[in-house]
Amino acid sequence: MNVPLFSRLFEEGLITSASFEKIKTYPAKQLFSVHWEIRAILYLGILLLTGGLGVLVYKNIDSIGHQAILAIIATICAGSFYYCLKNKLPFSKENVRSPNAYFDYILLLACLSFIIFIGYFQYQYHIFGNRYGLATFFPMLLLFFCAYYFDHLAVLGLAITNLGAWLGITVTPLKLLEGNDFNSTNIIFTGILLGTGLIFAGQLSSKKNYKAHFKFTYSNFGMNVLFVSTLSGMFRFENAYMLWFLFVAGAGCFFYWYAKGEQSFYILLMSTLYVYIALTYVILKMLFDMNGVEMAAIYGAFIYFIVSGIGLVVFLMRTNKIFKNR
Amino acid sequence: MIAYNKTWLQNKFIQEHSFTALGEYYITQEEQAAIKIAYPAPFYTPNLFIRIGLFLLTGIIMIFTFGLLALICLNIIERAAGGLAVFFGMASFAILEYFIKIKKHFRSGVDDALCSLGAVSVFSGIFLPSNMNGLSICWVIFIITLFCSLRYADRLMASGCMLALLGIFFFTCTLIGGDFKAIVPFVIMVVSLIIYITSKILNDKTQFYTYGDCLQIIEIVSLISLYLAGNYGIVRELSNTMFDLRLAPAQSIPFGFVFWILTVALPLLYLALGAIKRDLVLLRVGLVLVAAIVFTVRYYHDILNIEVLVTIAGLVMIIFAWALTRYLRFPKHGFSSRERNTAYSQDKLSVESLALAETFSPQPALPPGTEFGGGSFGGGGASGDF
Repeated sequence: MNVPLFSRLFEEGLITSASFEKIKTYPAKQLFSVHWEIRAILYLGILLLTGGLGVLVYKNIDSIGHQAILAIIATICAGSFYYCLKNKLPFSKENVRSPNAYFDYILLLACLSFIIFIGYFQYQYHIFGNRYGLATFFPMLLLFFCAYYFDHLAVLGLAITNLGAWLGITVTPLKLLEGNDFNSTNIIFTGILLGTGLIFAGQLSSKKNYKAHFKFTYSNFGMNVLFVSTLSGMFRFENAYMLWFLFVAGAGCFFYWYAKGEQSFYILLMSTLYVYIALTYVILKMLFDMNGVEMAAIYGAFIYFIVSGIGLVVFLMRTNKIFKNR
Repeated sequence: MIAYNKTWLQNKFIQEHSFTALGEYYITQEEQAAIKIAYPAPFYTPNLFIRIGLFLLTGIIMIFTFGLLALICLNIIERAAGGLAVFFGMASFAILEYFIKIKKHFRSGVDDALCSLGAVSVFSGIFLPSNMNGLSICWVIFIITLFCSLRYADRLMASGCMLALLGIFFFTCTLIGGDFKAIVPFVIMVVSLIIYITSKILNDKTQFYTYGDCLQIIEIVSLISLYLAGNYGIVRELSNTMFDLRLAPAQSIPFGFVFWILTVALPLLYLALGAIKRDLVLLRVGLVLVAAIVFTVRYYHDILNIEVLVTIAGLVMIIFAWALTRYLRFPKHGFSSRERNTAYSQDKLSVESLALAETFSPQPALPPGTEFGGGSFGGGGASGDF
C-alpha cells in the first residue's frame, strides 16, 4: 500500500481519517501470501508424478505384472475417493466451495485414476469385449456424477471430453482440429449434434438453476465444437457452402445474443472470429471462382481483408460500449 | 517523451491503488468512487478479450495494407522493399499517434499492434537491404525499441530493448577478442545485475509510475539473463559454437566449476532474497529457475532415468507444497498460505478448469482398427488440414 499517496488523498478529503489510520497500519501487519505459488508447485508436481509413474509402469510392465499395477491404481483411486467422500461439504444445487486447497486435486486424482483403471482393464482383459463404447461410457457416467456431486468444474470438463470421446471426437479446444478427421461426414454431424446438446445443457443449468455456474463450461465446449463442425461442413460440402454459411451465421447470431446476456467478452470474441473465418471463405471463394480475372481477384482479396478488418474493429468497439464495463 | 496523457496516466495509477485498497477492505466503496471522480482517466481501454481481438484485427489490416502497397509497387519491389518497409513503419507510428492523441486509446489492442508492427517494419526496412553484423543489428534494435519503450511504455519493446543492450555488450566483447572473449559471461552478468538494480530502484520510486510495467518486465528479464549468462550449459554450448572450441562431449570448459556453482547457487539466492525482501518477482523467477538447475544437471550427468527423475521431482514438489501449506496454516514470519483477501473472480476458476481439461484430455475411444479389421473410421488419425 502506497502510504504517501493515500496521505495526499486524505489531505484532499477523499478518504476519511478512519480509513487512513487503517492504511497506515498496513506495512506493519502485511501478510505475504504465497498461495498461488504453492498451488502452481502442487499442480506441476501432480502432472510430473502422474506422467513419470505412467512411463515407469509402461517400461516395467513385464517385471511388475498386470495384477499388481491394477491393484496399485485401484488403491490410489479408492483412497482418493474415500478422502473426498469423507471431507466433502454437503451437496447443494448452488455453487459449493471446496473444503480445502487439496480437495480439488485429490478428486481430480481419483477421477483420473478411475479412467486409467477402466482403460487398463479393457486393454488387458477385454471386460467389455468389442463394445469399446462401454469402456468410455462408464467413466463418463462416473465423471458427470462426480462433477455434480462434488461440484468440480475441471471434472465436468473431463466428463464432457469423455462424452465426446464416447461419440468418437476430441473436443478440447486446442486439439479439436488435430485430433479429428473432419473430412468424415459422420464426425461433422456428430459434432453438430454434440455442440447443440452441450449448449442446450448449459442453458438448462441456468434456467433450472441447477448448478448454474456450470453454464460457462458447457457453453464453451459447445461453442467450439459447433463452430468447428459447421465450418468443416462448409469446407467439406463445397456445393452447398452457402447453406452451411447460413448455419455458421445463425450460430453466430445466437452466440452474439448469448454473449450480450452473459456480458461475456470471451464468447463474443470467439464467435466473431469463427464467423469471420466463414465469411472470409465465402468471399474468397466467390472472388476466385470468377474466371479470367486473376489479378483483379487478388486485389479484391487484399481490399476485402482491409475493409472487413476495419469493419470488425468498429463492430468490436461498438459492442464493447454496449456491453457494460466490468 | 511519453505519448499518452501524463495526468491521466497518473490518475490511472491512483485509481488502481485505490481499487487494491478497496479489494483489501482498507477504504469504502464511496471513498473509492470519490477518488475515481476526483482523478479521472478517460482512456479508451476495452476488456481484455476485445483487446486481443482488436490486436489481431489491426495486425490483419496493417499486413494486408502492406501487401497491397507491395502489390502496387510489384515492378520495382526488389529495389524498393527496404524503403517501403521503413515508410510503412513510419506510417504505422503516425496512425498510432493519431489513435493515442485523438482517439485516446491506451492498451486497447490497436496501440499495442501498431507499436509492434511499426517497430518490426522499420527494423526490417533497415536490416533487409543491408549486410549488417551482429553488433550493428543490436544497435538498430536498441535504438528503435528504446524509442518505443520511452514513448509508448510498451512492455514488449522494453524487454527487447534490454536484450539488445546485452547483445551490444556481447558482440563488442567478442569483436575485441582476446581476454574479453573469456570474460563475456561475467560482463553480461554484471550488466544484467546493474540493469536489475537500476530498474528495481526506479520502480520503487513512485514518480516512475508511467513506466512501472516496463520496469517490472525489465526486472524479470534481467534476473533471467543474469542467471543464463552464468548457467553452465548455456556458457558451454555458446562458447563451443561461437568461439570454435571443439569440445568433446564429456569435456568441460575452462573454469567449468565456477559456472556449476553459479548454475546451482543463483536460483537459491533468488529464492532466499525473495523470501527475505518479500519480493514476488525474485521469488517467482527463482522458482522457475530451480527447474533450470534440474535440466542443466540432468543434461550433463546421467544420474537417473528421466522417468525416475520426473517421478521423484513430482513427489518432492507435492510433499513440499503440502508441508509448506501445513507450516503456514497460521501465518509465520509474515508469510501466509492463504489467498489474499481480494474479490475472487469466477473467470479464474473457469480458466483453470479449461487448462486441466486440456492437459488431461482422453483420446477418442474408437478401436484402432487393427483388432478385427472391420473398423470403419479410426478416430485418432490426425489429418485435419484445411
